[in-house]
Amino acid sequence: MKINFNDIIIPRKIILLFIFSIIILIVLITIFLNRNLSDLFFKLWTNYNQDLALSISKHCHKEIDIAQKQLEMLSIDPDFQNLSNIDKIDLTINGLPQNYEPYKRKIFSELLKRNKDFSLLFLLLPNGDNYISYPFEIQKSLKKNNLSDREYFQKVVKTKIPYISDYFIGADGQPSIVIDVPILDENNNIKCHIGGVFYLDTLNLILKQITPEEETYSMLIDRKGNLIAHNNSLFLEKKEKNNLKKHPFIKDFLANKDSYNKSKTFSYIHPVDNKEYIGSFVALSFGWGFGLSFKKEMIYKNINLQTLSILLLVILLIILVDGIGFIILRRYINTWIEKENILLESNLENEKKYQMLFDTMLNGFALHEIICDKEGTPIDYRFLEINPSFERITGLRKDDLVGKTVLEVLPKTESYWISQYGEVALKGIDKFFENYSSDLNRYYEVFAYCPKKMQFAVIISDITPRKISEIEMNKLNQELVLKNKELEQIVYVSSHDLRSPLVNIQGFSKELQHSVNSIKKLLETKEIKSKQLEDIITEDIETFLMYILKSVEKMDSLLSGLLKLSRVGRAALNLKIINMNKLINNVIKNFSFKIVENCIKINTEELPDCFGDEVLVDQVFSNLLENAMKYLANNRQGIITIGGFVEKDTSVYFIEDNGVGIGQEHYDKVFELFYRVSPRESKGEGLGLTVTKKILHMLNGNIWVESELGKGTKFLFSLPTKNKL
Amino acid sequence: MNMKKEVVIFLAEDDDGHSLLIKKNLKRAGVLNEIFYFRDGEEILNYIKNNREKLVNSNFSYLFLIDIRMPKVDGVEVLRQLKKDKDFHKMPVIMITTTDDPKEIALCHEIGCNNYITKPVDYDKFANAIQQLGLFLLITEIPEMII
Repeated sequence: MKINFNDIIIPRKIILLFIFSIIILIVLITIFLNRNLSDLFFKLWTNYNQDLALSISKHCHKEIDIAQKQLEMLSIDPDFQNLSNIDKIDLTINGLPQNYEPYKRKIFSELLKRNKDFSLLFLLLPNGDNYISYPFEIQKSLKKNNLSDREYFQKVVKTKIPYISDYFIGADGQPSIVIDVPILDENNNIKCHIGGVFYLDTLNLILKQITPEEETYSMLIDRKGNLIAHNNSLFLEKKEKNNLKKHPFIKDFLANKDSYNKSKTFSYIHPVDNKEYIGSFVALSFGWGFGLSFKKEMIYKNINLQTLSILLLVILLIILVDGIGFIILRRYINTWIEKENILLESNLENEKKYQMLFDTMLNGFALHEIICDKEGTPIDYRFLEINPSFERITGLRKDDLVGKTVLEVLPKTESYWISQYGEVALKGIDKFFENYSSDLNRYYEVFAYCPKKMQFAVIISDITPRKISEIEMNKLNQELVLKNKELEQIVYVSSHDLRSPLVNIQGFSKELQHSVNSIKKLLETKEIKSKQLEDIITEDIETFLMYILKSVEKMDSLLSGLLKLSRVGRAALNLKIINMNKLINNVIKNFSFKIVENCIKINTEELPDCFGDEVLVDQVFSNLLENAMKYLANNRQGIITIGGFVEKDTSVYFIEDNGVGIGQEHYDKVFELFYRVSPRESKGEGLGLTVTKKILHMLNGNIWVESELGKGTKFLFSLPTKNKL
Repeated sequence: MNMKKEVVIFLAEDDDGHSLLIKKNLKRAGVLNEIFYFRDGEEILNYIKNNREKLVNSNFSYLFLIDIRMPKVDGVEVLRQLKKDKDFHKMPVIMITTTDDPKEIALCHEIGCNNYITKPVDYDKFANAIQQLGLFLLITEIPEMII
């Protein structure tokens, strides 16, 4: 039946499978995240690129706008207007037309001086007439297009929007573009065209400064889709130039007027290195476009590197945690196996042992099932199994118990047993408690536990002898405490009350001595003044003697009181159930003379029995009745009521009068030794209630008082109803 | 306290013999002040309650000699009431008792008694204590009385 590690190889495989599936899940999540990440990255990058492209293109546009404005301004320059009127100027000298070329050149050179951004200026008229500052570059371009200059210009002049008509390296070696601005009259007809060759220096500078990365290009593209310039070089070689034409969408985008000053992103093959680029293009209103592009692989290069390193780290972590986890798991499983093996080995042996233990153990053992009502409140329980000791301890036989409920067997079973066991069986909590069973008149120590829902098992032992001695001990302890208190009171009394008469005796003896001395002095004078002598003897000596004698008497009464108190409880107690009705009748009979004499009305109610010493209880009633009669009010008939009732397992009796009453501040003091509320108004030693209290304590009873000044007093005392043990 | 005011002694003592002895010994010590006698705590408190205005507005100042163990209201309670009383809390209170229980002495001092005298069984000691009390009265309260 032994288990070894190989037996549980399947769980191990399951665990490994589980771990691997977790790894795969993590990888999938990472890839998913990565994809999202690169999308996000790409979007961010593109947005940024578009914004940058827009911003650069605006700069370029502004430069060209300024150039256009300059050219427009030329149209109202009087010098320039002269050019168009030059034919009308009479340059005939001596009837012959003169060459106006030098004049024309003079005007142009003035104009060029004022507009330094241009290397060449020209004016075109709708009829094809043209005036150019330095004609040869244009002519070069004309040759290329196989057009006569008149034809070319006529074609150009039809355009009604400003645009860039050409680009080239200017005569002065500077990269230049040709900007052409139509001037319209009030009827929106073309009046003329003013054009200029514009240095690209400014634009070039912007492109070079703003372009951020090495693998990023900023570009100028002509309206046909030719790549004209990028940040590395202006005016590219022909083969580079033309490659953008492969992407007609760029051309379409630039040609569409709606896309002016807007940006759009295309992916395309860049002509410089034939790699895939992402470019943001902006269509400029003058016909050309601007582009800013970056190598596509640049983004993914970064992202892929990051993702890979995170993945590696995660896998490493998993391997590490998994490894440690497996070691711990293996150790745990091994321990568990060992425990199980030991248990298995011992189980068989134990079963035998348990059976023996069950049969021979000194403690009683019993298994029960709880019985509940509809609300689930435990109301009874049934015996399922008991051991021989249980029979012995309870005195009940197995045949009478098993299968029956406790209320069937012991109908008077206290409800606390059922509720305690109910908690054990229903809530599954262990309980250890001591309790009393009135049916069996025994004390039990109980350990109860729940082996199964709705069942409970108890292990009980009879602790009645111990309990009895405990109760006795408690009683003795209480007595000791009381004795101690009594002793304290006696000490207090002896320090106060007993010393008080002594002070008098000694004090007045000294006074007597004084008197004697006075008498001696009087006698020495030989002249006996009988009046003085008489005064001393009658006023002083007699008074002093009176006090001394009174103090001696007081002393004697205190001492006899102490003796009386000490005698209470010295005689052996004769405890039994007392018929209180009979007892109280006797007491009243003893006081009948006094009752009649003082016209006192005594009401006696039916009194419950109690457990005590008849002589002592008689004394209690006598003391209390005597007290009640002593402190009746003078102004009304005395009424004394004697009654009693049972409360739990004590009988409570009371003697109520309508006398002078006691102030609340004296409630406790009245029971003190020699304490008297008003010593001058009544006789007594201050002993009665002290004795009464002592007797009641000896009989496991108690006494207390309720009273109202001027209305009456009610003394209550309790005694046990029956013998508890 | 006004030095010119005459001092009246309020003596609360339930034992008549003790009262007489105290009176005689005070006289012998030269204390001739008027003495008011009370036989328990209730009596003295009632007297103060009923004659408060007269006592407060008179030309006398008062000294209390109070026995601790008295029926009805004991001395400690009287002391407590006096020390709570806005009219009387400054007047000197001397506790006289037969016991020298340190707990009781401490309690009285705590409440605010000015002196505490144990009635000694030894008469000489008692007389001495009373005489000391008389001296105390003469010096602090009524210096004119010596003449």
